[in-house]
Amino acid sequence: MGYVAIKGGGQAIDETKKVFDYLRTRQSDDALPLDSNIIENQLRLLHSRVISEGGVYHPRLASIAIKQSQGDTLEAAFALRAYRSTQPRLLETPLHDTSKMRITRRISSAFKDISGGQMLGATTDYHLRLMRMELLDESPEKFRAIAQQWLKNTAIENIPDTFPKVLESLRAEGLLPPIDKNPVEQGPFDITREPLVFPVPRSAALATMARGEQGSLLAIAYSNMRGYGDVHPTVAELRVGYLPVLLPHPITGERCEIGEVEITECEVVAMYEEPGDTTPQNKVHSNMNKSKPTFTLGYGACFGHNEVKAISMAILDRALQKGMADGPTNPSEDPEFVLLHVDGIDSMGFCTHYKMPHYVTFQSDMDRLRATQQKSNPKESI
Amino acid sequence: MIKRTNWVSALKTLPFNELLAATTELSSDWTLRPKSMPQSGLGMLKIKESAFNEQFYLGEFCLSSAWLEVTTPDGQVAEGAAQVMDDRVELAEALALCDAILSAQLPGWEKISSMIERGLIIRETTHKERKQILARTQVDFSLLDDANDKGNAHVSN
Amino acid sequence: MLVIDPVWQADTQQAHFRLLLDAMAYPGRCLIFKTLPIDGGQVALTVLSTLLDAEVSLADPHKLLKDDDWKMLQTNSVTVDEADYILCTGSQFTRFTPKLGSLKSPEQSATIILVVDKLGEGELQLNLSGPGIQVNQLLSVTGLAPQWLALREECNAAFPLGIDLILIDDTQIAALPRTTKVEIL
Repeated sequence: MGYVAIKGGGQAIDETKKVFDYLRTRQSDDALPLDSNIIENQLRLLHSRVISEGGVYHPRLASIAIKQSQGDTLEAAFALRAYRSTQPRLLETPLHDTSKMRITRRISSAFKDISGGQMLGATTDYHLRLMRMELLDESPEKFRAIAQQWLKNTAIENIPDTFPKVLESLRAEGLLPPIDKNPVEQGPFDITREPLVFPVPRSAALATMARGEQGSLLAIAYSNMRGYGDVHPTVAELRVGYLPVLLPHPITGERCEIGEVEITECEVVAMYEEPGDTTPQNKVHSNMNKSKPTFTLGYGACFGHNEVKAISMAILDRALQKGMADGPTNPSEDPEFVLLHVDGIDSMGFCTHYKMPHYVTFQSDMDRLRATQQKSNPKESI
Repeated sequence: MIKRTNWVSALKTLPFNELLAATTELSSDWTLRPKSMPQSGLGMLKIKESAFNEQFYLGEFCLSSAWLEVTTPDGQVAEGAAQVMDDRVELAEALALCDAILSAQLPGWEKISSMIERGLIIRETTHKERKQILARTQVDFSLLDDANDKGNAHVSN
Repeated sequence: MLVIDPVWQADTQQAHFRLLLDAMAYPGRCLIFKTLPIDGGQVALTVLSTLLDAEVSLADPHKLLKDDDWKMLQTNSVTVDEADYILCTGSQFTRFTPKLGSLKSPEQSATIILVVDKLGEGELQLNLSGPGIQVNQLLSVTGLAPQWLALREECNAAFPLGIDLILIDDTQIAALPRTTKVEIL
């Protein structure tokens, strides 16, 4: 009987694909399909999110993923992740330094005056959350005029090509744990090659969170912000921009720019720690700096323009450092809790699997319940 | 002459079909042999985080690469190679051809050179636009002291 | 546009991979492979192009490969004691200690590819038995120094740790996985 149920589903399953596409296309008779350029440009931040959670920087495919999933970010990220798993790994880049970013936004909450200045960029931070009703009826002419208008006022100032990191000035003042000049040469953890078997190094945590699902990261980081934790962050720097990707020319060996990736990066300064406090970095460096307490730091970065994700990740990085050193006292400090529950494909996959037939499993649950009921009340057997 | 390390980033701003048409036409009677299999796959981006200068993998990107040896009918032999952030191996092959043509000044190299010039202008435009974004939204804290605040950072429509 | 030798093309490599699976499944059987590298290229490229990529490593102590071959193989060049695959001339024995794997991961061991003069003919007669062989399988070889078989015995003494051998002449391959018992007649 179980097999008949499954076989009978074949045709229904075929139809689900057709009806899904029917819902996508059943607009009015003169409706036009979505252009992937429209998705990349006019749904820019959704597009960023899918690239980031898919884990592979492929703008064109991310647009297709959004289009085919009809806007479901989890499904779109899943499609991108699935594509990624079919591709061979050609190489690993040389180490890239994000101070080389071509900035489009750069702010600091810790300092007012930073070298190079604060540039707000294209942020929604100052928007009034009022509905722009005029967008309901936006003509193509009005639409094109906006970009043309903005480009007309081309007051180009003496903006430098790159900007120094704000943290460097704090470091120069001795307020931060000094960098280990001779770090142990161990390659970063590759989460696409090895499963997470705890304890994992910090590079595994950063890589996992970099492609983590935004809502999960935010919720857990928020718990820390509200008191299930002790980070108390200040944003030292938040930057958004394009990082040139450089690879050695196969023949000459010189670094060539092969493309750019848009990234968002955030550094938070958290509560200071006394030396002898057991944060690994402080432990290492308290030998170098015997009596000075220093600030603690958190770092977050992801593909695309996604500030909430980068800030949440930075807070969680700090929380996890504390948890890995002292043992977790809150969920956000527990690497197993955080890192195993923030991946969108893992979590939605498991959630979704509950919809698959569990008839046989459930049949045995029912049998067991009936037997138990009968044992406790033999007179009232069903 | 524009630096060889900039050729790929300049050329990839041009439409793919134009690049392909140009390289196909120029190489129509040449023999092309791979020095390394042209392929398309992923590169893993390794970055240094700025809190403790530790290394981690930010994520993967699409990557195509090609390395060719070119022989012209009158016996000129040249090598060209290119890697590009794109999933089309044909693009990498076309860029590798451009690399060979220009580095060895094979027949038709002037065409490639002018394409690179155009690509550089397009890149400049993009860089300029980004600087405009920064310039227009740069905060001038001195204006905060001004009682008649004349709309400092954000520009409203 | 690009002239690419069939040995580097996917359909050829898939056919060769199938052949290698059969060779391992039926130890000692000589199987004819589909296509040779042209331009007198190293015959072992038929096997190497199929098995190697950037995720594994190769040692070439007898220097059978040219620089151009390495570029096409796109694999990692390492020492014999670290290599996943080792390429040698069968008639020339060189002593070394290949990777033997571990109890937890016996597959993390070396596969040795030996280029011999002729499979199926020759003074060296091997009587094979074991998994994949009904009763016995006879394999004659020309150009295989018997010390390779002694090295194999030594490496495979702590089964499942050990090494696997692939023999190749100019048209055929045969395999001796570590599960096979080899008796020199």
